[in-house]
Amino acid sequence: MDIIIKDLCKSYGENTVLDSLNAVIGKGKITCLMGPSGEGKTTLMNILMGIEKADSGAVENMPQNKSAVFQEDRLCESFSAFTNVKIANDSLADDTIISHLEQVGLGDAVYQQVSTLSGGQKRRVALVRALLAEKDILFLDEPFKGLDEDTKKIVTGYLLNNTADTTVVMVTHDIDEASALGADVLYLKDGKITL
Amino acid sequence: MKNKSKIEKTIAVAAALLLWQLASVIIGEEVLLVSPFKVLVRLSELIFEKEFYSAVAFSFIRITFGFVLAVAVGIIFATAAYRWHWAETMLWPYMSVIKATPVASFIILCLIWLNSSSLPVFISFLMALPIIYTNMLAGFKSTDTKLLQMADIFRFSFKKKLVYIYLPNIKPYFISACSVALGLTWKAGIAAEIIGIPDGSMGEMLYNAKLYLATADLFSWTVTIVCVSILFDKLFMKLINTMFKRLEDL
Repeated sequence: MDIIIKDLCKSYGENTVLDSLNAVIGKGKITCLMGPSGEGKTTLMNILMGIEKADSGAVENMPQNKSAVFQEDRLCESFSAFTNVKIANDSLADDTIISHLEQVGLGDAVYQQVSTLSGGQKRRVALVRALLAEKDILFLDEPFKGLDEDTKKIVTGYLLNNTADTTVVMVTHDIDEASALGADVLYLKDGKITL
Repeated sequence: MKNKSKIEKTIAVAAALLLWQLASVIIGEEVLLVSPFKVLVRLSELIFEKEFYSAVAFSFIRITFGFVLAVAVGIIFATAAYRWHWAETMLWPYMSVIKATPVASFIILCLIWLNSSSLPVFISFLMALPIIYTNMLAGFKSTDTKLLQMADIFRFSFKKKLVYIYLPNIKPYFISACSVALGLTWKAGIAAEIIGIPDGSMGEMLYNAKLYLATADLFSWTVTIVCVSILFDKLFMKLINTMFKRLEDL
């Protein structure tokens, strides 16, 4: 079933971020949240994930099993890339984890401590972790942040190959990223969906 | 670099010993300041006496037990205080009083409440407890809430949160707390023994040395206490680091 967002409101003091926002997120589709900075994309995503609470309104048909790439990488820095992926899904075979890390160009960094990885490498670890976790919905908050163009292409391909029939909600500023993923776009402006 | 540091430290120790020797020669009164050579001679005699080892064992077991007990209770209390705010509030007066009260007051109180042989256990425990508790609680509180949110999204079990989020964060706080508390427990534990004079303790040996103006004995026992304390510190820290390393390798 599609996820239905009804009259969602959220304010921080005087600042209204979401103003009776209504939207539908298609099941099994990729939906991109776009819009200028500070318009509440991440706030909306956090409410959908259950990290923040809305002041009023409702989100219907939200699946229980969620997975995410956050705005920050949120990795366990003193553990390896392999362990970071493994702890999100214990049932994964070691070979599967290694193969996925290799697919995003992290073959040499599988057992490397995350704190020693570059920003772009960490982002890819976070992405592999999110994609391999058991999930009914995947949240991606600027998943390509810090990646160069070549790596972005590789990661986009990897994302498309591994998100078939998965409901994906992604925050991005880049319309090209949304197009490359064939995503539906919800444009946030003044606390509402305007497109 | 490490070798250079070791050489520098060795030179510093040798210089300190030389200064001590010179001072004892200038003073010329062994009762006031015995020479390091005499201390070495007396120490080499002591280590062949059965009482030496029984005194070291007596104090070591009790002080260590008090310390380990403080670590265990400190961790439990800090976990409870982090989990429930009311627990932190309820523990606050006890921790504040323990931190502020002079150790001598506790020693005298404990002499009324307990027998003298239990004294080092209780005093070591009291000295280490607030340090472990305060540091562990600070460690828990400094845990990145964003990582905890991530753990909730990925449905981490409590064990996973503990191993992968809390323990790495707490590690520096715990190591620092243990390092400070270890030195303090030895100082306070021996001070308690000197006041309580439990039979066969290192504190009793120090007390007797003072009583008979046996300065060489006093220095020998002090050297022994310092060595045992440093040795235990090193062993305990190695144990803690190994434990954390194993957890990180999971």
